[in-house]
Amino acid sequence: MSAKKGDDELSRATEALTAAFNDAPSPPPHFEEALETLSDTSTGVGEDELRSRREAFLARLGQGKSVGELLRGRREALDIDIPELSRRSSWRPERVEDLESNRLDLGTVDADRLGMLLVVLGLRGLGVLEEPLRLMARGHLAVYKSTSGPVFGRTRKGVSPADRRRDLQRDVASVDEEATDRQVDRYLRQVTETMEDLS
Amino acid sequence: MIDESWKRLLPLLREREPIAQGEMCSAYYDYVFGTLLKWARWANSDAGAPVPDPELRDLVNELTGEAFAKAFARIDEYDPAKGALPTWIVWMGRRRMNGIVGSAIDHGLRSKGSIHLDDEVERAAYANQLESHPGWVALSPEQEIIRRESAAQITAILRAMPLDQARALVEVYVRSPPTRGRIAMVAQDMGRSSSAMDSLLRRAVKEFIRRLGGDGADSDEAGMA
Repeated sequence: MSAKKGDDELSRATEALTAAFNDAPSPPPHFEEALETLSDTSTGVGEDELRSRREAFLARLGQGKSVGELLRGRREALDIDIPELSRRSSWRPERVEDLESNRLDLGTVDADRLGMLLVVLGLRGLGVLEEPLRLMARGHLAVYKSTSGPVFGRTRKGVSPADRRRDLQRDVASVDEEATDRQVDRYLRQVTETMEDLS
Repeated sequence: MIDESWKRLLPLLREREPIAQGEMCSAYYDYVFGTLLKWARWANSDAGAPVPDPELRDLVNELTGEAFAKAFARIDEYDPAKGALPTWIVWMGRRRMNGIVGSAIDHGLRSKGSIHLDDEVERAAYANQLESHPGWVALSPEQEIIRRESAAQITAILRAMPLDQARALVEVYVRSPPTRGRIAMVAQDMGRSSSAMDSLLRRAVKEFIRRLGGDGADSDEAGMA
């Protein structure tokens, strides 16, 4: 009877210890050393699977955020104002403002210049920015299918080149999705390469 | 050895800056995922591997996402003096391990116990498992008896036994890995209380031994408590 009581008390104490262990805000001492031993062995999970899981996760992190919002957040977290960023990156302040407000047409921005700006903001790769930037670039760098003749239009104040191109081609030519994808991939790749070169 | 690029990102993470959170994930996703996966595999193996590895990897992927999300949300609680940030993220995942992976393991164990022995085909399959997975059988006197006998004899005995007794034996000693609480889990699946299950098992073992010894094999009621 007393042995049973002892067992019950031991179980309760063990459960309490396990709960305390699980709820602790910081890992117990020597946890790090234990993990080092654990990380010595391979999981056998292929690099392709890891990359696809990692990229899907990054895409989820960037979901619903715009390029401008992300870049402004980064600049503010670094406590850099626009004139300072402009000075360091050789971007005109109004262009930085336009980019942060999603008003800047990527068709007018060299990939190298964008890469340089991102490096000044401390980025070493596109990461979370990749999907929002891809989405933006698809709108700005759209390639239209060939039409039978020329399409004429005038420059209008307050209308970006990308919007003007889209308006002119409406009902005349449709977007060539494959060519646009290639164009966007090329642009993003060039941004990434510039970042790698400058980092 | 974990690289220390997280130190550069920490001030930005404390500002909850999304691009820095992405950089942290890019740099340490593989480490956190790999470590949690090894941990999850241990837990799964310990329970007799009821969760297939591809499913386990999906669960650990989910767990990894939660670990990062939880760490980013509670970054103010992180104390660099107590360890590296990636280690703390693994710790966040470890704390959620029971909820995500543990539930799947429990569910996997319960699912294994839901096969109906009144189905002739499934019943025969159970007998085959008895032959092909002797390692699943826990080390109890009853199981030693089962292991000593040929599969054909065991199949014949199980077929002749009352359904609920045969099911109880197979579910507990063949289908369930030798873990604590397996009888309670099988009891739940069979819609019985733990004490009723215990009683049924005792009767079943007694009956099994009686039939194994060729004692009164024609009478299903003989020797029952």
